[in-house]
Amino acid sequence: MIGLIAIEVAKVRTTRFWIGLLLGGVGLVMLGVVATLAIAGSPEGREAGITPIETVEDLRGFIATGSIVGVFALVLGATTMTTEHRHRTLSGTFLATPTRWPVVVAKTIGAGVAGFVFGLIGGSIPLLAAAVTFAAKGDAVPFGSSVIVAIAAVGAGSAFSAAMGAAVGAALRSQLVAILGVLGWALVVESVLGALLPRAVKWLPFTGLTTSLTETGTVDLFSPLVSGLLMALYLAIALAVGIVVTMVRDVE
Amino acid sequence: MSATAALQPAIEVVGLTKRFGELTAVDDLSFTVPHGRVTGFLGPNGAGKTTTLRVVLGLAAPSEGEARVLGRRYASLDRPTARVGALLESTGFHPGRTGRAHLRIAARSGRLDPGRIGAVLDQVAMGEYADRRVGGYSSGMRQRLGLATALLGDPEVLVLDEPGNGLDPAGVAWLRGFLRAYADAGRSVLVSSHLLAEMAQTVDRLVVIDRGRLVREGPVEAITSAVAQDVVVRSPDAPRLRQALREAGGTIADGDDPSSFSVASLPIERVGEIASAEGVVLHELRGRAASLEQAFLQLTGGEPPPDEAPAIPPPPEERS
Repeated sequence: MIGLIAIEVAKVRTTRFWIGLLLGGVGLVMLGVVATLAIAGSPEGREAGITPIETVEDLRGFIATGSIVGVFALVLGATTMTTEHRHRTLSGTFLATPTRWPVVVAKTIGAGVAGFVFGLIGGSIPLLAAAVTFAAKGDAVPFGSSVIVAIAAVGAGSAFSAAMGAAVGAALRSQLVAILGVLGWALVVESVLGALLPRAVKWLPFTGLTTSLTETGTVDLFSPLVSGLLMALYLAIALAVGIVVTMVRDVE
Repeated sequence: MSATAALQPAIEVVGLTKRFGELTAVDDLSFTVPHGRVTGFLGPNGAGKTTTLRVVLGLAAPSEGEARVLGRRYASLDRPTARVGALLESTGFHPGRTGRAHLRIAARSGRLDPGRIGAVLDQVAMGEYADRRVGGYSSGMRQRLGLATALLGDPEVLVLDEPGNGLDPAGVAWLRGFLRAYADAGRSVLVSSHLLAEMAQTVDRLVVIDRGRLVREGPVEAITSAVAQDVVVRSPDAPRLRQALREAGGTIADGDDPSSFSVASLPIERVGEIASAEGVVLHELRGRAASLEQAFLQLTGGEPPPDEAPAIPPPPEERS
């Protein structure tokens, strides 16, 4: 299995698609970071609930700005299988590994690994920006071990997004449908559900569960442990569907 | 190859049926591919060749029947790409990956020796282009990369679907020689192609299918001689013999000179009997085997394959 995961990571690494996604994610995080730092402490910022970074807790909240990179990890995951349909490389993959299910599992884990790296990068950017800002003022950024945990939490949320994307994508043939489908769910459907049923938000995989990993306690969400278990359950269900569809479907 | 494996055919298809909803693409098809032979897989467009190859390679599930490669289902072979090399018409490549990166991934996926990458690239004359992205390859270069992928595991069985597509004449000639040498080394090749002339020069055996069903299977000579052949006749009294043969139902075609002609629709024995009954002297009487194309057309009752069939229309200025 480790060999298969390495192959799936190599498949992602040997194309340029991931670079574009990572740059897109990093760019968006940087935009969020600059905007946050610019308005923190101002009347507009206070109105929006954005306060200056004064404590470790504030810094943890600021690091959560990097979570947006998870959207790009979600797209990366959704394309791991569908790109093989699109470029008709799946027959080569299944000629080498005809049992198929290990390929789906390896793609999901491989996407998770890539998503985790995306998340670590995304979570590190706010920390770096805060450190530079504080250094410019001659101050030291408020730092503690919980800051590292916060970056790891951004990585975990991003890893979950990428793995979910891969598992869902395994059941689909069309890359466009997969990308629009997962983005539509994460960005539109969950927002609408959240507006209509606020108490259900904590059950939703992206606005609820991944947010709970980085949330500092201002919203009613499950604890990170419960969220982690639910994420594992959702992922297992999506993966099972992806495996079944992949096993029974003829390769074109 | 073990003694047991040597007793089994390289590929065995038994009672294979594949349905797509109401459409039966392959219908109770059975044939074998022996070791040490190049077996041609022939059939008109839509006959079910590619579907059959996909079932053989475990990429599609049969509705009924089964296909075995080296005595086992493809999916149950250990390191299958080390034993069976495949080039399918539908196989693609990621355009953003280089040819060499594609082969590295194929080697890792199939647990094959990556040290062979350079050798197979040289074998298909792609070494020079290996570090370019596949998106910039011509169709012939893609076909060569596909062949390199099939050869990477140094397999004992090759399954090739239209391998000549996109290759230039030199590439086709190389492929012909390569497949011949491959089979002469005791390995097996199953090759589907529309290029009948290429097939005739390359293959030892034929499996001909039409509408998903087996039409004929066997050595090329046996198949071409089994279909109707014409009879070449040369006689100093050709006009009288032509007339007698026409009256007996023969179809006459002119020969190279006035004394020779060919007769279709009558067996050679009957032609000899008619000549004898007419008291006509014969200088030549021989049967002429059908070409592979003639055999193909007779067996499938169809049109010649598209790449050989239509005459090129004259340019507009030559049309009246």
